[in-house]
Amino acid sequence: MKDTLGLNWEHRFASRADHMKSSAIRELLKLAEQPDFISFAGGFPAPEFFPAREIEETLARLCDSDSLQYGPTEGYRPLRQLWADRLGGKVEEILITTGSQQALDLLGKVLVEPGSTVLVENPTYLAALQAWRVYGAKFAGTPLDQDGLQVDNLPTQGQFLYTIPTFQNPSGATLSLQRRHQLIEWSHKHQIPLIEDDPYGALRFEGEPLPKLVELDPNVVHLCTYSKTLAPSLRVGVLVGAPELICKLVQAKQATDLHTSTLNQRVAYELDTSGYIEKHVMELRQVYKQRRDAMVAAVRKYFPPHTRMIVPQGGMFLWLTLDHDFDSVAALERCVPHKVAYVPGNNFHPHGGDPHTMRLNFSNTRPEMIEEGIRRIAEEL
Amino acid sequence: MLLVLDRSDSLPLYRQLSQQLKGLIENGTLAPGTKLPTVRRLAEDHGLTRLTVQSAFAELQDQGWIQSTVGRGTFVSAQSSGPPPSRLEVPGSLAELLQATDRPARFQLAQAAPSEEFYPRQEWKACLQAALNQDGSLNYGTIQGDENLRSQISRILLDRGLQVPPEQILITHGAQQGMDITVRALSKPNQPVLLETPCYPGALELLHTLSRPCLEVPVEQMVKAVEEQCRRHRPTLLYTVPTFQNPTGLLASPAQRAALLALAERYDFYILEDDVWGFYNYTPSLPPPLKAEDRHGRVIYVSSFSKTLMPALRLGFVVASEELLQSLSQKKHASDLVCSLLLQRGLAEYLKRGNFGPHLSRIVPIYKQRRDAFHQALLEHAPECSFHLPPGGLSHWLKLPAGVDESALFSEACHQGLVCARGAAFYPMPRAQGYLRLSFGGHKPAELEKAAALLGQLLRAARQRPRLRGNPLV
Repeated sequence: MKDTLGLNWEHRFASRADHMKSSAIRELLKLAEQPDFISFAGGFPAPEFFPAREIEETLARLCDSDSLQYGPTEGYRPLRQLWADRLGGKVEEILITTGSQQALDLLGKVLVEPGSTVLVENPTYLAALQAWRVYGAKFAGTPLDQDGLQVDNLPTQGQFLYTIPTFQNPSGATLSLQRRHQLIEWSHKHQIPLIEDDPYGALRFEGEPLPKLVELDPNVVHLCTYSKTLAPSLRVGVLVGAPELICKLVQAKQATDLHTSTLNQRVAYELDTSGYIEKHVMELRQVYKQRRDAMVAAVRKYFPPHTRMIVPQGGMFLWLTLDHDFDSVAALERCVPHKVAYVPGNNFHPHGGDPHTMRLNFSNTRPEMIEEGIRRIAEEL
Repeated sequence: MLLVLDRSDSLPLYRQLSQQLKGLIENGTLAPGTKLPTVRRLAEDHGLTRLTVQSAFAELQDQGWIQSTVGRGTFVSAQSSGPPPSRLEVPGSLAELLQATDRPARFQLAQAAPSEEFYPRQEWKACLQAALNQDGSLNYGTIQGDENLRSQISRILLDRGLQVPPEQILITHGAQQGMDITVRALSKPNQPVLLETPCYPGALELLHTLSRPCLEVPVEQMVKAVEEQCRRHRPTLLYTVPTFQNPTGLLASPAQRAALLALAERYDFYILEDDVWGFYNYTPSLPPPLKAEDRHGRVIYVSSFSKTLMPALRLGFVVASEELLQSLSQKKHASDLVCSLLLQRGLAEYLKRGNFGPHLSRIVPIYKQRRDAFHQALLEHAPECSFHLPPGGLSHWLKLPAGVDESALFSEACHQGLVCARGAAFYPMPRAQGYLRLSFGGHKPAELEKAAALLGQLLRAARQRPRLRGNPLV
């Protein structure tokens, strides 16, 4: 007898339910892709500064090389060696991933079982939550403030803790030096691994760089990417971890996509070793600083006076907290017809929350349009 | 240093150079720590361009054979036995197959992959340039994949007898990712998946990683076996390569295809149809894919451009009903957000320029010729093995005669410069009957003849090896 109804229904229902939760927002944000829209909603680096010419030249050379066949799952060895040398480790501790998202996915495959509790910042990077929900993770969030994660408030159990300590997405906050040490102590005391995601660390426009968690403690699993320093289209990320962990991740990656595109890995390698990225990032920092300043000034000018914001020293995002009775989602709906958008803050919480917050991306819009966009939003508050 | 480079060989000079240097390192002629001649020296001595030598050095460095230090020179790596062993280098495994071209060998028959000789490098370069001139190519793009690419894929699928709108196509990171998200969307951990065996090692790795037990269905009696398994279990998914199956090369008949679809409907499971070999056709007529006859939205069709164009692109796609595609797209997004928009647009441009058809028209007859030559040579030199003429694809599947140990033969062959794929890599469980998969794509007919002759010698030697029998003397 066919007992298929339950099974198929369950499959369809699960995916549809997930889909329904965010589809409303997704529909709204799709509109933000229209050309005359001022969008503060994406997480995009400034497209005018993508190094198209340099990438083109590099690709042209690579097409004549051995970059076009199958490659090892671990990644292009010189690229791995580059990162090993940079972080003072061994090549066996480096895995090249298809963007940092894949690093999150592989960690999920290897570390998350249905019902595992994953500790996160509250709010945190949305796609990380999505990556691990797929594997049945439950989330426990700890709030943050202008100095980052409130390490005094952490739980004592969990599969691992995921943090974006520098210019956090979405809050822009940076974990203070003291709290970095405390976090590492906490991690050792309770034997809970730390996963440090660092996509924006290079985009600092002021203040002193703080040591990465992995520089303070080699046990930390560290993620970084070329998406914000070169171009998102390359899909090249770097994962640093203990050799035993890397081994398991490589096995999982192999079954997932065999290996990351060799061509793109080599583009990243060439532009990194040649010193191009270092130069390019210096330019980006100037540009982003200007854009941040424009946005901060505009918010101070147009938004209600009691609007709280964390002014980030780098990165791409500004996080605003308005009055407790402010409905960020409803306001977005009013903004969209005026061709401006942002992401309501509740999306970044594992269990919803902070409906009176918003995340604004400043990297993707020219300074003149930033003021105009902020003005439009302010009118709809 | 004596190097023999053949400009008339289809293998690029830099690869010949790198392979020979590797050989010299492996056999000890270039000991660990030896300083290599400079790029300039090697180039001058052998009438090569510096770029050629640099490319060879880059390849060797990349594989860990040599190390370059600015100001000091280039040295043979300290590890005398070559690159550090990886835990994944289980003989015959997928890892080994992926790295097969790294091993110096006279006969490279391990990887079922297109030969570098036919990579459309210049066209591809031009298409990438065109892609870079389009607005936004360096940005993220959409989850489902570049619209133009999906339209182009929709167009070329017509040549496979498949009519699907671009909305039902999702671009993936190779067919492998298509398989990953499909298995995850349509089955749960510890829920068994029907798997035709022998099968593509990547499928085995995938099911293992995802903790899906395999319900084996021998490919030669698939329909019957599927029905038997369905009577005893509740699988939700079958993985099959109906067209030029990897490794057997089998082509499922129209009757078999119809039967599978009927079973899927009757026992309520989905079919993951892997068609990566679909264009490597040497027969006059080909039944359409399962997907073409899929009335009930049960088939998820997966393919890629790795075998037809270039493996490094990592561009594949999934075709499924719009509803299923929602679920698959979500999983893809959670896995790696999007595929490289730059490479997607490069490929879209390549297809748009009408390059794909002529490319296939050029390479398929050459591969057919190689298949024929290899087949004849095997009939002559390895008659004790049983094998069929593969109607498509790039591999011969050889059943070894009784008494020949697969592992020993495989090792001995590697030793003698013949690298191929071990039968063990294609089954979830070890078995007594030995097999080898030999891929003929990378060598010309004359070389294939020699490879078959060598195999013949090895087989005879294997059968004559004295077997330990009897009791020890006391």
